[in-house]
Amino acid sequence: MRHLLALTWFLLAAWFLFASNSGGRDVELDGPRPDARELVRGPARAGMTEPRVRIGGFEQKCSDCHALFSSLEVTPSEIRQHEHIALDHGLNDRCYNCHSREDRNSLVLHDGELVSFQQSSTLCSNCHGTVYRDWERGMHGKTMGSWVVGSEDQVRLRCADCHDPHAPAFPDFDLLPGPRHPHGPEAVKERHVTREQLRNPLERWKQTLQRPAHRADPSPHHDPEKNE
Amino acid sequence: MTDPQSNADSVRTAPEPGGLGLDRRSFLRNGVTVVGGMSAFVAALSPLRELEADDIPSVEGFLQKHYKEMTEGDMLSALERIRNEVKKRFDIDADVRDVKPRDGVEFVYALNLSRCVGCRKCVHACVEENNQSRSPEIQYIRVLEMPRGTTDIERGDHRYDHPTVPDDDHYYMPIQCHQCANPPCVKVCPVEATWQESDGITVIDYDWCIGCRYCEAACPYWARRFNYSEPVLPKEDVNPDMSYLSNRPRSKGVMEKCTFCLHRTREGKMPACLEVCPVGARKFGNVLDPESEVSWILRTKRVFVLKEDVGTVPRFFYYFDERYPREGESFQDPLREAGK
Repeated sequence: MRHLLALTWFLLAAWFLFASNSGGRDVELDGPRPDARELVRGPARAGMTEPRVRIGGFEQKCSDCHALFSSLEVTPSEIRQHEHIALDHGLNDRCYNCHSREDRNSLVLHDGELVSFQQSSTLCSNCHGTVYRDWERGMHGKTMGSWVVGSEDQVRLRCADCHDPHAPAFPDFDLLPGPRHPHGPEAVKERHVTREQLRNPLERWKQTLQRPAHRADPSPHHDPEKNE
Repeated sequence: MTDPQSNADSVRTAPEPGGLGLDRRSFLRNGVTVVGGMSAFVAALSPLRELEADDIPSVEGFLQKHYKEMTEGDMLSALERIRNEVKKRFDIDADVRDVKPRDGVEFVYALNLSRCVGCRKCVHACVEENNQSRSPEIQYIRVLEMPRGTTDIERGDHRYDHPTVPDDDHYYMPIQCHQCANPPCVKVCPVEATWQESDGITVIDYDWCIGCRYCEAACPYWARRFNYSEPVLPKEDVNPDMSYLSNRPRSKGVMEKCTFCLHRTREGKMPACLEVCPVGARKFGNVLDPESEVSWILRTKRVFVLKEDVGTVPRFFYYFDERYPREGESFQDPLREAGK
């Protein structure tokens, strides 16, 4: 009996010594990492500060061409020139609402005053007054460089540094990878049940059929909306 | 039956002349016991086989005092030691500093829930800035996808996946350390390895932390992270701009958390998560300055804090812009529907 115990002891010790570290768990630690280009800090786009465009590899001032062409009295409803511009700015769908017809190197306010492209935010404030007020206080928009008020390093991005003036609503954004599930991305799909699903009794019943019992026992969720 | 027994006894009591006083049976019995015991002892010590020179703390590291008790000279030698360790581990010349809080500054963060699109850029910019472990993955920011009409974070989902964001039926709520004015994590630490600094940032001395994870359990915002294994950080991903209390490389068995990028913010810069945000949803500044962005937000916007009822007094505020849904935007107001 004692020999048997000692032998078991010895075998157990040998197993601890040689085998215990080889049995790895099925844990996935490495996974997708975001592209460094996705994480560039700075303005979302380059807002125009000078009235210049590149046409055919040459940089031109707006007036270089528009001095040659006479401008139409009224903007046509579809864009025949500058076709890369997709105009999607709500009711504001006429070029001369913002661009000056006389001076192509300037923008024009509602009262006819000309402002430079550098001051385009003033033009935006003509319609978006409340947002402009927030932006002036830093409550809207993005401040970079420094949080110290009045610091030289502080850069307050202008409207056009984030929004395309011709289509100001943000397009949808690409999604960077979420937190990794220790058992791999498949496990997320299989095991992850949203709270919304748990709230639905039919979904809960379906979960019970699909998975072992210990995972499929959601606690009854308190729903404040239904009590009201 | 008695004969062999008595015979054996007589053999045992009468050792061979010139022998060791052992008969065959007791020799085997004792031998097996000794070998088994030795094997068990070796097995118990077998984890030592994996011990490398780096796992044993240096003498200076072992004798290092608590952050608050260090003199200027102590700190300089500690920084030198960290610099050498970084050089040895990553072959990188890091700029390791100890950045002190500024006078008259209390940091506050504000996050605009109307703007956040849930793209997770902040999550990864933070990892890049703060030298977190890439494997296993440690992230300070958790972006919750929330169903519209509730702020109950129990209903949030941080593993969401869509081709693009934002999803029309959800809004997004990033959660990171709230830098509470009444931090439960600090109260529970048995060794005072974590404390609140004068500018409101709760920091950890990674050399003092014993890894008991009490603070992780105490935090109502799930903001603290633990290094369960040796953090893996590729050499090319190391950010050499380091400070003692924030993003210097951590080791296995210590807690870490968001420090509002104090190596940046205490030098006047903005945190990394803010600078990378593509929609300007994140706002940071000094709440003691009435002209700062955050002060204006706290005065004029609809602001709330998460889990106000637990009394942590966070320095992280969520706010809204008041606006009506745009054309084509799907938005159901549950309260309005309930009223109908």
